[in-house]
Parts: sequence; C-alpha cells; structure tokens
Amino acid sequence: MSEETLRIPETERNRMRLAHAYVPFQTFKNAFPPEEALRRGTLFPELYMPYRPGTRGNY
Amino acid sequence: MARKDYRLNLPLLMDIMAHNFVNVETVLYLNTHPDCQEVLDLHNRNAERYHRLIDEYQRNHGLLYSNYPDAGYPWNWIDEPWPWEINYRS
Amino acid sequence: MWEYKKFLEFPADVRRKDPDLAALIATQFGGPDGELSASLRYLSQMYTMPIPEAKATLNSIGTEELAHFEIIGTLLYKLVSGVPADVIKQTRFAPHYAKWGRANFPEDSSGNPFTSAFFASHEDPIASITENMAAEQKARAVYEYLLDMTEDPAVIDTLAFLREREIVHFQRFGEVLDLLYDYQEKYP
Repeated sequence: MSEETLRIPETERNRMRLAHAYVPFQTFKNAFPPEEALRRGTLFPELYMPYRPGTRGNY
Repeated sequence: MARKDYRLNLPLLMDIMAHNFVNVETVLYLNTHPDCQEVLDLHNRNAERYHRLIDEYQRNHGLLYSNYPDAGYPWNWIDEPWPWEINYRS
Repeated sequence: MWEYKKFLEFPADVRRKDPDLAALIATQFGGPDGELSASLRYLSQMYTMPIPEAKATLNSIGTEELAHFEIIGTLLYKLVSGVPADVIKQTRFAPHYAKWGRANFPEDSSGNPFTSAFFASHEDPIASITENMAAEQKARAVYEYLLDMTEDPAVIDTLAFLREREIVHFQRFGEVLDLLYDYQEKYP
C-alpha cells in the first residue's frame, strides 16, 4: 500500500469534525480481471489488504 | 418431449462465478458512487458478459435460476450437484 | 424478495475432512460475528435509513452476507460429511454430533445457539452504521483467528476471501457514514 493511498487529502481534512469517524471515499483507478478479483476477494487493487499470519500476539 | 443430458460444466460455472463477483463489487461501489460513469460502464460491460454466460449455461448444462424461460424437460432445477456438493478443484 | 442463484459466490473447497476445524469455523455460521448475524443485522436496519445510498448498501451487503452464510455452510458440510461417528467421537465436533448429527446448525464454536441478541438495529442511522463498521472489524479479526488455526490450503483460500470482503464492506459503510453526515448537515 503506497503512502498516497493512506493519506487523507487536505480538502477532506478541513471538513473533518471532532467526535466523528471518517473513512476516505474511494476513487476508482483500475480493476482486477474477473477471475483474479474473485481469487483476491475484491475487484479493487487499492482495497486488497491481505492478512500476514504471525503478526498477532505482540503486546 | 426429447430429454437432454444436462450436466455440470465446471469451467463455465467458474467463469460465471467470477463475473457474478465483479457484479457484486460494482454494485457496492455504485451504491455509494452513483455518479461514477467509469464504474457504471464497467458494470454494464460485465453484466452483459455475465448474462451471455448464464444463457449458455442454462441452455446446455441446466438451470442456475429457477425462472429461466426455456427450462428443458424434465425439470432439472432439482438436479444434483447443488453448489455445496461440487468439488471445485477437480 | 430474494431469488436463489444455483452457484456459490466463492468456490469453497476443503482438501480433507476435519471435524475439529468444523467445530471452530461454526462460529462464523451462527456465532456473534458470524455471517447470519451480519446478514440479519443489515437486512433489519435497512428500512429506516434516511438516504437511498444507505438503504441500497444495507440491502446489497445484507444479501451478500447470506451468500457468505452459504459458503461457511459449505465448508462445514464438506469438513464433516461422511466422517464415521467413531472418528467424530475423538474430535471437538462430538458435542455437536450428540445434538444434531452432521447437520449444520447456527451456533458458535462452543455450541451456543444463534440469537439476534448478537446485533443491534437502531433508528438512529449513525448508531447503526457505526455498529456495522465495528461488526465488519470483529468479523475480520475472527477470520484471522481462524486462519491462524488452519493448515488446509483450500480452507485458507476461502477464509481469506471472506476476510477480504469484511474490508471492502467496512469501506462502503465508511462512505455511507460520510453521506449521512452530509445529509444531517443539510437537514438537521
């Protein structure tokens, strides 16, 4: 995941209020082909965030 | 009435599942982005291909929707395998 | 109304029978953060949403969750079908077998039956959509716990698919929440 996809744009930040939860709106960029989309569980590359096992239990 | 030997076509069924999934995704996206022409076009292109695949399947391999207007004799909606009975890795 | 399509959303398979794993995965069939709970939550909430985007999103995701209920049901069926009772007797699936045999029943991994007390359905749309975002995160976490305990590559593919869907649904509910803020600003 690139820095760019994580950052909330300036225009979005300006309208954010205290005590509200926000998720940035997705803007369409490109799509996986159908078979690959099904295998990955999403059509959208920027939403593909696979689990890395073994990352749990460190506290 | 002539009997037709309908049977599972796994590669075609998998292709249908992939196009069905694209539809699931474009619908969810469009529900919150109704003005996105680009995804709307993608949705329509995919849906057209989906319906062609579905039609080919239902004509030759059995019903996937119980309201297909040209169901063959005898009624094959009841035919096994049901979706949970298929070995998808064969 | 709803219409059945005679195929799964995802080709759910198992490499080998495993009643122990079935007893664990059962929690996504009828447990607190399971697929039945998710589906009924969204399909109950949709009626009183103030904006069309929210009604549509709850309707579409609630429908998809029913397809996930079927995917989990498929895994459970494939993990235990044909396994002899004397083998089941040695597994964590034995208490389920004593009550239900090999049939699927909506329950959690400890055998507690499904209840709608697992979820909420508020008229206040912010309360409901925020609940749903939490529900998607809880389900994602449960899929990760299950992935940590699964070695069957086919089951892993299916659980990873369902986990990824939780992420996409979270994104959509987040967008709906934003649209609700806009609506409430316009019509306070």
